[in-house]
Amino acid sequence: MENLAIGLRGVDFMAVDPAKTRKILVVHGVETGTDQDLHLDNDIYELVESRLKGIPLDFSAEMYRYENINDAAQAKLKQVLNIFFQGIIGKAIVDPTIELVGDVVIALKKGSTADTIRQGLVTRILEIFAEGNPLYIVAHSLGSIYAFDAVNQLIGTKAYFNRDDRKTWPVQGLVTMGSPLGLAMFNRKSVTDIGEGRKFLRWINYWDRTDPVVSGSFYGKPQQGYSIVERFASSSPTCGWFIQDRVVDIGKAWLMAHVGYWSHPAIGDDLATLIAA
Amino acid sequence: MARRMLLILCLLVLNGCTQYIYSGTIAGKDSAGKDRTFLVYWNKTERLLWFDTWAGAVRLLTECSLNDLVYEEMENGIIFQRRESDEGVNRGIPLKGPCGEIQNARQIKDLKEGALLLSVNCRPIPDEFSLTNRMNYPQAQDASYVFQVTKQKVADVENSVPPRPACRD
Repeated sequence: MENLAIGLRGVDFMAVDPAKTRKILVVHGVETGTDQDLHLDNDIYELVESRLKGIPLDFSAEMYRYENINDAAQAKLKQVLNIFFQGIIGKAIVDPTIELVGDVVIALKKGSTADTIRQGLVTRILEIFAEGNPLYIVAHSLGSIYAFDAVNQLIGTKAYFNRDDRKTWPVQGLVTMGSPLGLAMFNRKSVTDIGEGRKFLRWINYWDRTDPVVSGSFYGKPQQGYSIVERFASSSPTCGWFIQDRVVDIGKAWLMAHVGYWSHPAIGDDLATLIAA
Repeated sequence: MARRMLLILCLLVLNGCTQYIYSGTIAGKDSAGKDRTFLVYWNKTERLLWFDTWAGAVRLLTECSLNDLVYEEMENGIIFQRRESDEGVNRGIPLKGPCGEIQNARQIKDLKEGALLLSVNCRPIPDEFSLTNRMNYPQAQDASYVFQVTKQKVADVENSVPPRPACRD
C-alpha cells in the first residue's frame, strides 16, 4: 500500500519506486525486417554496462517494437509493386525501399497506423509505470517522433507528472538520437508544459553534424548551429523541461553516422549519468 | 541525377577521415572531499572533404562516480551547463549557466595536446532518485584544474575511448 500515490485527479495508482530497477525503453526508428529482427535494447544495455567499470547500477533495457505494425500497413502496396518487380529485384530493392519510405510516410500522416504505434508505446510506458520502475526512453530517428508524442500526450492528460514529485512521472528522462524532430516536415514545435514546480524533466537530443536525418539534407550538408529541439521549451515557469541538444562526433559520416549512436561510448557515459541521477 | 549520384559516390570514396582520442587524468578531491582520479576525454575526426574537421564534447569522469560532466561547445565557449542536480558553490548559477568552462579555446576542434585548463564551479545536489555516493565530481575551486592531455590516433572511436578510472573503494 505504501507504493500508492494519489494522482492529480484523486485516483490511486502505483508510484515510481526509486529503489526498483531502472528501465530503459528503446524505441527504434526506420527499419527493415520484422520485430523479431530488432535487438537494439541489447546494444544499449551493453553500451551502458561497458562504461560502468564495475560501479553497480541496477538497470535493464527492453524494446518497443512496432515494425510489424508498419509492415502490415505496407503489405498491400508491396503486393502490388511486386507484381511489376518480381523475383530477386523485387525482394532486394522493392521490399526494403517500401519499408524505409513507408515508415516515414506513416509517421508523417496522422493516420490510424501512426496512432496505433503511438498508443502502443503509451500503453507500454504505463504498464512499466504501474510496476513502479523508474523509466527512461531512448529513441532513435523516426522513433523519436513517437516517443516525443507519447511523453507529451501523457503530460497533457494531467493524470501524471506532478512536477514536484518524480514518483508520479511515468517517464524520468527522454533521450533521442539522430532525430528528425527539428525538420519542418514533422511540424513539432513545442513541448507540453508540465506545470508549476521546481523539478525538470530531462531531454537530451544527440546529433551528429553529418547525419542527414538531422539536417534533412540527403547530400549530407552539415547541420549548422547548436540548437535543434532546445527551442521547443518555452521560458514560462510552467514549462518544466530541461532540454539539451548535445552534439556528438560519431566518427563516421552521413548515414553511417545516423546508425552509429548505438555504440558511441560517450552516449553510454551520459546514459549512466541520466539513469543514476 | 546521375551526376549527383556520382558526387555522392566520390564523397564516400574520398571522404577518408582520421580519428583521434584526446585524454588525460589527474588526482584531486571530489565534492565529498575524497581523493579521486579524474579523467577527461574527447574524440575528433579530421576529414579531407565536405564534412570538415570537428569534435565531440569533452567529458570528465570521476572515480567511483556515475556523474559525468559534459563540457559542450556553445556560442559562448566550451561550457558545462548547470543541471537541476547541480548548484553553484559560493555563487548563484542559473539553470544552464556555466558550472564550469574550458579556458583554452572556444571550439573543441581547436583544443590541442598539452595543458587543458578546466574549471568547476558547482557541486552535486542529489535527490531521492539519485544513487547515493555515486554522483560526486571534482570539488569546486577558484583555480582551474590542469589536465595534461595526450592525443592518440585511433582506428575507431567505439573501441578506443578510455574507460572511467577504476574505483578503489
